[in-house]
Amino acid sequence: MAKKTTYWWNKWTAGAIVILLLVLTPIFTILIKLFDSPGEHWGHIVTNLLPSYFSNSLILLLGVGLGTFILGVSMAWFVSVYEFPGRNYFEWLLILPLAFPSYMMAYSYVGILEYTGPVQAFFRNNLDVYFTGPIVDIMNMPGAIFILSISLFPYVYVICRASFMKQSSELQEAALILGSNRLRVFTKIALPMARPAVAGGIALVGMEVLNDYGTVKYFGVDTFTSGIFRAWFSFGDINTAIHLSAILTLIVLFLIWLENFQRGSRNWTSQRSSARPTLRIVPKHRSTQWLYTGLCAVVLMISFIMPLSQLFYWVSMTWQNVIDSEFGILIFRSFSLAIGSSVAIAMLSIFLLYAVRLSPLRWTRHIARTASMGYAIPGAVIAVGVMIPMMELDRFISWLSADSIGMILSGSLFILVIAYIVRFMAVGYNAIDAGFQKTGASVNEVARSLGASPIRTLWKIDLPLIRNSIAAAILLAFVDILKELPLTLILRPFNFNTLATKAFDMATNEMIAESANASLVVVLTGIIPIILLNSVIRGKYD
Amino acid sequence: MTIIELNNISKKYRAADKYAVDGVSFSLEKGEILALVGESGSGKTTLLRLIAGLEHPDGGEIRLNNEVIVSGRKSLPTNKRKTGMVFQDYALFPHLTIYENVAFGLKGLKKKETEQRVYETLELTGLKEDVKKYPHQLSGGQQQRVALARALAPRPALLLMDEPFSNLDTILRDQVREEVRQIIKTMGITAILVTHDTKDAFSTADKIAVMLNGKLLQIDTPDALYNDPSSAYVAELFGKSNNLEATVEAGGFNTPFGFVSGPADCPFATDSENCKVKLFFRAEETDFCNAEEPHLCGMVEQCTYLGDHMQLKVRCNRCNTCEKGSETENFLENQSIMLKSAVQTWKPGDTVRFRLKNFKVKETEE
Repeated sequence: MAKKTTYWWNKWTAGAIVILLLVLTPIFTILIKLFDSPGEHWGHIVTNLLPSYFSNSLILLLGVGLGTFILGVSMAWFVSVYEFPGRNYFEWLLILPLAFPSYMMAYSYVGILEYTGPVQAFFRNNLDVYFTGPIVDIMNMPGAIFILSISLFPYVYVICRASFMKQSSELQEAALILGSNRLRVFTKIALPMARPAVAGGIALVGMEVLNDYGTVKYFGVDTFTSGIFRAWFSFGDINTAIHLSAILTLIVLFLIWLENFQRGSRNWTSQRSSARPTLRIVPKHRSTQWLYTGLCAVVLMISFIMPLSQLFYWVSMTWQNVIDSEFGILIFRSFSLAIGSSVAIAMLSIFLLYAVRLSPLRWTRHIARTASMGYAIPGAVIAVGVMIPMMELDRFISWLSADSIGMILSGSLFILVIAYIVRFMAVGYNAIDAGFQKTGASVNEVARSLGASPIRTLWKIDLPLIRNSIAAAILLAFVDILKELPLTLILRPFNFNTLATKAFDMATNEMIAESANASLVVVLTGIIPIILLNSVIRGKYD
Repeated sequence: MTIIELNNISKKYRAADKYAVDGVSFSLEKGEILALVGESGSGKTTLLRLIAGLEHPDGGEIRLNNEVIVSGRKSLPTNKRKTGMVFQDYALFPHLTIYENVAFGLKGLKKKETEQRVYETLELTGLKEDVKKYPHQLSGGQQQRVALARALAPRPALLLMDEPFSNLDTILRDQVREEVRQIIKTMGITAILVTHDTKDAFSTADKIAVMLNGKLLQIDTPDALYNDPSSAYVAELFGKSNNLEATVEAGGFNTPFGFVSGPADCPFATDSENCKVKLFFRAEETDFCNAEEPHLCGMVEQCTYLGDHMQLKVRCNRCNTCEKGSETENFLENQSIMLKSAVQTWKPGDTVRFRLKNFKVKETEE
């Protein structure tokens, strides 16, 4: 007689709990440490720096929120409602700025606007206008808002476009028949219906803004994240860094709550499964069509082509001095670290989601979702949260071996991989979850009813069916890890560089032109998944 | 021999929800085909998933082949139960050929034996030519048969089918139902199928169980369910029927439409004075007759053309020729009944004379 087991417990459940603990420990560590006494510099920071951290972070959030809202929503509306020359190219070209890490965008723009840059050269050579210093000083708060807005607006654009496309064309047609003009349809129907999506996109932008270190550091704008760095590196005061991290975490959790709260139970867009896609309007006059083309082209120029050209220009000037075998090793290390971490992320996501798939308990799904929380938490906070338990573990190992070996874990690449997993789990999780959802539960259930064990079912049925999603998960996590800066800066072993930290180090050491070499590799790599995934998405509809 | 036995099985999906399955018990003998019938949300699919081990009940016990497979928190994992399942969407493995699909559940057999078993099963389901094809190359009806073959190949003790015919169009459906019954009967397998279509149930099952709001209302042979439903819901589910108000009198029943002769003692109340009952009869279980024979009568209020027959809504309006009972006129005003007529020349306002061929005396539901 076959053995009965407790219905909800199996090896998969146990493994999933371990993975969850791994991913959630850093966040809990930070929140728990909030109750410890703060460090010696805490008083100084609270009286002298905290108010400006608060106000700067808030102004940056509001400014970038508004900027990405205007850019993202307007571009999404144009490409999903109007027909104009080049529209189907702009549809995906406008996502490209995502390949550009904002701090690299910041370096480029400083170059574009400086004395030797193309803008001033144009004025000098053609118009005989001379400036002293940069044409506009962007190394300040408005500059940071500008840079972050043009590099982050695709988050709003992508989500918003998807929402506009999903809206039933019948609703808009009904409004038109009732005598509304296009503007009224937009403000009264399309935009309110897209509101949950827009807010979701802006929430993502907000998390990226709080995560940013490279841009604000370069522009001299002090935010919470730069405060954590100051406490950690300048004061060497871990407890103060933890306290700042904890406050930042609370702010982020508040943002998440706000986003969930505004969404409520609204789910207007998917009322009908087979909504007919909106028929795009062809503007009557040719000139109006070209106006839309021009608008999209200007946004693309500013947010991608100009900064990319600047990188190419700098590379052409400096590559002889920078590209050597050491640069080759840098690329190799950077890529292997990112590949290793992203494969680990994909594997853990598969394990976690498969445990959920097997579980007869519905609520395990919601518990497992918390594994993707790291994406909302700023990289600097995660770095601190991973570092603390690792140092404890190191102390424990030293005590066991009765030998002061020191930083076995906390000084190694291992800690960096763990931190990447914590921070970017969501990227892999969402891609693989989508794959499982698309495949449906019944193939898995039928395989098990045919007597296949869970592991055999995974190998023979589920994995082959979601292999595209696995590839997407690895690719997306890979690119995100390659771009990552603040977390890597804090946790990298001594004298270890990734392309991102190399670019950062060079730019802060007045070698901005040389830094472009590393930046270019990162940006060009980042373009690959956008093109690939876009062709996958298009392939489905064509 | 009892193959499957459910004992007081209950399941809630969330604590705040109503029971999806509420205290269901039944058992099935070897070789029987049971149809679980009910509207969507009645809990029939949940019941099937509980038997397959894809859900775990909050309470109750399940035995398969006289072995307890579910009890308390303990459960035999799905892959160790000897149940086969056919899903509504068939759930064929899209990346495997038909042969590989059918062979998937065969373990511990030699290659030769596996091959033999696969071909044997495919032969039975008439798919021998398509072994190398992939699921997407087959028609809906063929996919359905592959799903069946795949579930049958490991010779399960119990076959479970979730809405197996709902993705087929009407013409194909009639044909496939008959085939499926033949195949299952040939192999002598015990099966449970879930459906919301009573035609599926009648044409394939030996027994039918009707579910409503998670409860098992009645489980019986198709014939018994049709002619002697235990509740108005079950009666209505299997077609138009009537519950005619009547009082028991000497030699029969007095109804608003006239007098019906029959057994004259009151079957329910001890007080035989003023004994009220209901006469249950199906819309087609009447004969139309002429004024000479004893008959009931009424007036056609509405007639609906339905192709092979006409459906009449008849209001009580006693004519002078019908047999009358005592003069107690304490019936509800304006009762109406539904009749089926093969003659299609009725008009509203016509007088209908009819006789009940077959009826059951039921207690009034008060």
